[in-house]
Amino acid sequence: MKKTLILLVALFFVFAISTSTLADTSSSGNQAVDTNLVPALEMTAPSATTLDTLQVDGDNEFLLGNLVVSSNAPYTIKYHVDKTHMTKYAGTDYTTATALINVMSLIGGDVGDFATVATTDQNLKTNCTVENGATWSISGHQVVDYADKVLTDGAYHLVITYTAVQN
Amino acid sequence: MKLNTIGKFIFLGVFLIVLQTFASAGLRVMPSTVDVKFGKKPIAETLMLKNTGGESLMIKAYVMGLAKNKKGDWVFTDPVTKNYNLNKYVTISRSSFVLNADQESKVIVNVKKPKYYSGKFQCVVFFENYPLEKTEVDTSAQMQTLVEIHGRLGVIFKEK
Repeated sequence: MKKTLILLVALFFVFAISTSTLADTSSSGNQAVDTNLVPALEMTAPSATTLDTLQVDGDNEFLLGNLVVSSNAPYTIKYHVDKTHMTKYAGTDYTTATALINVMSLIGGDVGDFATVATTDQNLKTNCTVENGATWSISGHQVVDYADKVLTDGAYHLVITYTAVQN
Repeated sequence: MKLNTIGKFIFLGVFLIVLQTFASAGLRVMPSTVDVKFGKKPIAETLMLKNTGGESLMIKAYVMGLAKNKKGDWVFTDPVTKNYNLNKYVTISRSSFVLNADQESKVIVNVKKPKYYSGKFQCVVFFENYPLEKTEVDTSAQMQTLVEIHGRLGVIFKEK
């Protein structure tokens, strides 16, 4: 009888210790899956804006908006601009427009890091360390050396696509 | 006092117009990278997408290869090459769909290593987003420009 009692008490202790260990494990988060820790990328970009500052013989810079790339952990982001074309809205005046506008992306607020992007630039920009919630200003620059081109009045359509992938 | 109140309303109205002008489209993709150990069967991975912006988005999903060029820079490669068609090996459950504001959606990607691929395989599944409602441009205006800025997020699938 005594032996059974001792065995029961021992079993109780083993049970108590094991449950307390499990409780500790779950409370410390070792076993629970925290979805906030799953790597995620988020991009917020201005979807559309209208510019009326374009001049036939101008040399302007204009702000298009802010691009925000964020993740729930510090990440190195690769990016590039894969489409930078400007087409006449209701027409096909494509080459004239691409000669006119270059779009630049400002990285981390350093003017020296302006990167002129051409239509054919398919390379990824590397080593751009971006912390959570980094904001890039997207600006355009109107190029004046289009002497052999004639830009006609009208409404034009410019599309820019930004890419973010994890390193 | 009345003028002050009217002034506040005007300020609020202008503020709202400015906010609307700079409306942003936001997309969140999780996870951002997937490590894959290839076997005989294709690997199925569930990706979660969330529209975090205030407007509906048209999402287009597609796959591209990822390889180093001669300079050593990473470049995206066309999914269809001489040796293999990547679209046969990477299938995406939804390639074109609408994601409303604050809506979440699952996308399942099945990946199989191409037979003729030597070395460690890498590819990127892109989610390109466009605003659903097109902004009208006044075509009669002189030198007016509509600028659309599209976001594109890539999820890298890397062979372990």
